[in-house]
Amino acid sequence: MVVQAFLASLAYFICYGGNWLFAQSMTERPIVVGFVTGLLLGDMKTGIIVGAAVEAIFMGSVNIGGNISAEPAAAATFAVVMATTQNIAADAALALSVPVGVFSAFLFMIINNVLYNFTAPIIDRLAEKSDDKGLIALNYIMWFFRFFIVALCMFVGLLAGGTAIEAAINSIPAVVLTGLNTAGKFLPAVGLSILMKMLWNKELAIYFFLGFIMVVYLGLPQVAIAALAIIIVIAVAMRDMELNKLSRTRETTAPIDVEEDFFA
Amino acid sequence: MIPSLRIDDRLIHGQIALVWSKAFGTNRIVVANDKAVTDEVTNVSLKMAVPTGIKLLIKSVDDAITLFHDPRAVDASMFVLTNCVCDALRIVKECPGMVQSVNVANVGRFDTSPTAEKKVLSSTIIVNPRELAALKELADIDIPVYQQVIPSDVKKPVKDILKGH
Amino acid sequence: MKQTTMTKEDKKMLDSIFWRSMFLSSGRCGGQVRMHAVGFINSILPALRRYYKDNPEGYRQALMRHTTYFNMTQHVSTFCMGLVASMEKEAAEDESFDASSIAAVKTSLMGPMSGIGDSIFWGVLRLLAASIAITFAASGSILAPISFLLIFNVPAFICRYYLTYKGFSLGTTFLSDMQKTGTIQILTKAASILGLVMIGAMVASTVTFKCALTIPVENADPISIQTYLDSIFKGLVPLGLTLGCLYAQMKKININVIMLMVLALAMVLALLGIV
Repeated sequence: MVVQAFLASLAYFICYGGNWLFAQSMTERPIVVGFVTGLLLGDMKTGIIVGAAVEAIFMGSVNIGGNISAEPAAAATFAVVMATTQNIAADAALALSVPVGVFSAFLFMIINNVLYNFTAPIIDRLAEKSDDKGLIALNYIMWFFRFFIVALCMFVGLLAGGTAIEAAINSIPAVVLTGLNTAGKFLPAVGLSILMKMLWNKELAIYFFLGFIMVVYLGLPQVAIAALAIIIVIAVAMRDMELNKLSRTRETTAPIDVEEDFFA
Repeated sequence: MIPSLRIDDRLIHGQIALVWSKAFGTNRIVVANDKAVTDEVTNVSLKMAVPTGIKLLIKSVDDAITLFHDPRAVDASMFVLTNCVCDALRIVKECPGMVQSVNVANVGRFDTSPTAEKKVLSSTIIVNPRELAALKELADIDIPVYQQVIPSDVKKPVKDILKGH
Repeated sequence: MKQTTMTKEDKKMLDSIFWRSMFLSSGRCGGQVRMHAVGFINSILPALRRYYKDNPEGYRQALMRHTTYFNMTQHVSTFCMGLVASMEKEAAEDESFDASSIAAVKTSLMGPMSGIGDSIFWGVLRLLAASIAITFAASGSILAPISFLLIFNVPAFICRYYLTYKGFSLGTTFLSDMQKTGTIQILTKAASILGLVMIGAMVASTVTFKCALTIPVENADPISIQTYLDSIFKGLVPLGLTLGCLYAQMKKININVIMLMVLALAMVLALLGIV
């Protein structure tokens, strides 16, 4: 278990840390984390399948404005470890990954928003001394510590909890497991609704139902839906640009009173 | 009618426009600032900072005062922003009865006058002698003058902040 | 600000800013108070070093003015960096240039640019990439992570590169033009439509519910309740659940509370033997 816990924590560090070190290139998402963890643990296929299932649950948990409610990378690592090395059904591993994600988000919030606040004066001191090399170094040193700490926690957690969790799961009554499984199937709704709220407005709501019906009744694959959606988007955008042009020509002929509009 | 005039050295920024206009139940914001009218960079970035559904007018201080004498302005509720105390004081004095309260939120953090002259009244209020005099005069006018950076903060009377200065 | 022609040196500087911008969110030194300030300084160093080469005090002042809070969707932040580079150039060349306006512009760009950036990159592009990748993942194919990373990153990198140059050469005129012609609104609307279609499709394929209850019929197979539900509208429960979560958020219920409520709902359904 020591080797496996180490490899899984390494995968977590590479994917999660790598994402924030370089370009937020989405390597922190479960689809990638699951793949890398599975690869290192010697079962790439399970890694990808479980990773994709975790992705669906955590679809909506995105890091916006530095606030996260659940952290998907830890959840994915955990679920893949459980599914590949322990005798745990993928569904149960998925449901258990949710509390892991929430806890990891909490830990990360403490590091980012509480502990790291105390490092602010270092920036000022370096800037005052025109120490640009120091500032560059600071960026990378602070990066390493953030992700080293969480990867270490992952290692300790897997080592201490790995086998205990298997025993615990085996003693859980069947009805609770059914509940956890159902929860795993319901939770994507929460994540997706977060994204919906970001894009939602009354006029555009119909497009949500369009996507839903294309799957439920037409059974179209995602690639086809994406292609159709892009066609619709282009058609709408072209019409909007025409409308814009029209309203602009009208504006130039009869300029509207800015103040009139303001008090309207 | 101006339920609140806010002094903020960054004028509109972040969620300020949204949060405050909601707090006062108005969708009209007037920025009274001479530089914002002439400087294209400031002008555009202010317009960018305003969320959709909120109407923004950018006026020089003189034009803003003229606007506030417009009969339509008396009935409409507006949220006004200036970036220094002197501009705010002028508006309050020259538009009697229009401004119902003044919120001295963030002042002078980008002020480039010599450090020795500036006084730090609170972490977000830093004043040079001219601004300090204006602030004292403003505090003596018979409307509430307070500091409240975000709506969830307690309103702190500026008279208390000025004590001992 | 007028359009300037690019010299070789300009291009070298902007390419360097583009590459350095990749490390924008690495350190997060200073936590919530400064966010990505250090990453921002790191990114624009090529500009500062170039324009303040013979002016150590100006260089120091420039470093100090960028130590303040910075947070913006990374993939569009290069626009701000290019713009700041052009403003620092003016500040270095023109004594009377008001350097405080650099901070002001930076600050006022953060909100709106992140608003557009977050919804396009997080809400739409990532969702598009994930929904296609998940289809490949069903068979455990390695195409899943690869397609996911490519679909997201290729447009993201192109956008990042393009905006570095646009920020520097056009500055705010680019934004004011976009605003005057309504391009920003059209772009946001287009992204929202694409995002909503994909979310609808994702809800249908990832949120699942199957009712286990049946009505016993004498001398025949029992009738499943699910068949009835499907005959009303397929996917009624997942749809209702998702819209319920959306409604709860609009009523300002904390997202963790919503998550717990959904968990509790699943448990109750299991206890009642409905699932």
